[in-house]
Amino acid sequence: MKDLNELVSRVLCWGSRTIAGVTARWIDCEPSTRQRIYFANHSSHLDILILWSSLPVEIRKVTRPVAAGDYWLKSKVRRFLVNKIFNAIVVQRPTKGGHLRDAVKAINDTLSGMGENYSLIIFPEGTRGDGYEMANFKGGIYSLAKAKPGIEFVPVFLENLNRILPKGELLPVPLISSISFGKPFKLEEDENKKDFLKRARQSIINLQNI
Amino acid sequence: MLKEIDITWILFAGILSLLFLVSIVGQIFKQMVSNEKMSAMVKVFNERVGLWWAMCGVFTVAAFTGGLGSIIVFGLTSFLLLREFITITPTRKGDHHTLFWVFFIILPLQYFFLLRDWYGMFIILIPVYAFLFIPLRIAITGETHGFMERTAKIQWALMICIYCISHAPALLKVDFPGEPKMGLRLLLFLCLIVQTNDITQRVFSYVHRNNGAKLVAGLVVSTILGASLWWATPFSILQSAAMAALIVFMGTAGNFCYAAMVQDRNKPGVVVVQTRQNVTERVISLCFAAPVFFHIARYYFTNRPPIAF
Repeated sequence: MKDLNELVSRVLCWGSRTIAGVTARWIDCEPSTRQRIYFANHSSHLDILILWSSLPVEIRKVTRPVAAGDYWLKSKVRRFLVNKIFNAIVVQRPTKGGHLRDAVKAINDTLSGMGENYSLIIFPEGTRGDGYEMANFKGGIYSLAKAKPGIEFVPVFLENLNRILPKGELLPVPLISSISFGKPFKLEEDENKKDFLKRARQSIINLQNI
Repeated sequence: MLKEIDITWILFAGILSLLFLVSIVGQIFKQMVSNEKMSAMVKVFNERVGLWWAMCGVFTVAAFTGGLGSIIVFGLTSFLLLREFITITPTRKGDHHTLFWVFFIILPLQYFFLLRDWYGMFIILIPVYAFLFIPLRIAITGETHGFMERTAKIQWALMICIYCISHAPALLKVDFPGEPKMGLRLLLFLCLIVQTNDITQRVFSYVHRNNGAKLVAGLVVSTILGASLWWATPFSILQSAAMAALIVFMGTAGNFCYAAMVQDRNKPGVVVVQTRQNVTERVISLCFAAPVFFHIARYYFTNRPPIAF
């Protein structure tokens, strides 16, 4: 069973990279297996798949995407993907105006899924945007930074995936896309939430113009 | 008198030995050259020679599979070209369904008609049916922002990346009376002249700054090569030279248009997706030359009724 999962995972990586014609660029950032949080702009269902499959295999093995339960637990295929292939941490998205304890639980689930070794893939916008402009970041990324002082945040810019499979579409169009990993940074000691969120968002925007 | 089949093989052998020679020269230069400008020139040269080898491989396969192989290869090239072209062309979210049609219906249909020798549909599918269908499909989506621009961009992509380039393998289907391999030889002739012109212009632009000199060098070298290959074509020596000059003219026109396109894209504030292969740059000259060469060869050197290949 484990071999089968490994095979599916390899085929999926190769297939998705081919369909989306991905070029990966590491800019001021060395690929490393040390514990990190990769955060990216979010505009397509392909995002999670492409980011995950663009990581070198040894890094991929110790990296867990954070996936929203309301989407990823809906069908058998999705459950198989998040549990067996991505090894994702499935959390319940806190609803708007919902209880604070939902948000706290999501963060705690993420932290316990991370442990001391696993890196994370997160999409701080919280949901997919239209691909034209990035939404403001939700506070979750800051809570993670607070809970894990000293951890490196790696900005990731996913380009063109919203054209390959836009929000609300079923069929992909085979275009070329690119993925850029930017310079890792950490939470400064006296940095407040607003500044940190702004800086994180800006670091992705900066990658667009390189 | 040489037999028809022999001529094709001689042409093949000639091109392969020329290519072999050129590759050796390229490698020798690579070892010898030390200054930066020259080594950039040699690099461009060797890259193009590599492309030639790939082309020769394709033609060899085509010769053994009776055309099917090369139609598949050109179809694949069309796909890669279209993919790159649409990537660097800004389209909007509302174009998604249209693009799906372009990639998965129109492109395969064009090559299907070619494969089935259906000349009429091959010639009008994109300029008539696709031309009318694309704006309709965009209008149905209801996203009207930039309607005309989006329609034009997609239609241009269709014409260049599918329609024009499919005229190169269409040469294989043209029926030259009594010479079943003539189409293959003409396809070789076309690609050879286009590539010779491109490579000469590129290499020459390192030797001499003047743009005109570059164009003249490409024209002279390619026309001489074209004239010297007259024995493999249905043309006389003069006609052969004129055809080569025509191909050079069209290929250069393609390169000009590509340069204009790139300049338009490189405006500040426009983000371009990094593409690895640069397919467009390599085949745009072929795209421009193929349809014109195809029609002239077909109209003046066959006596077929106008609706058959």
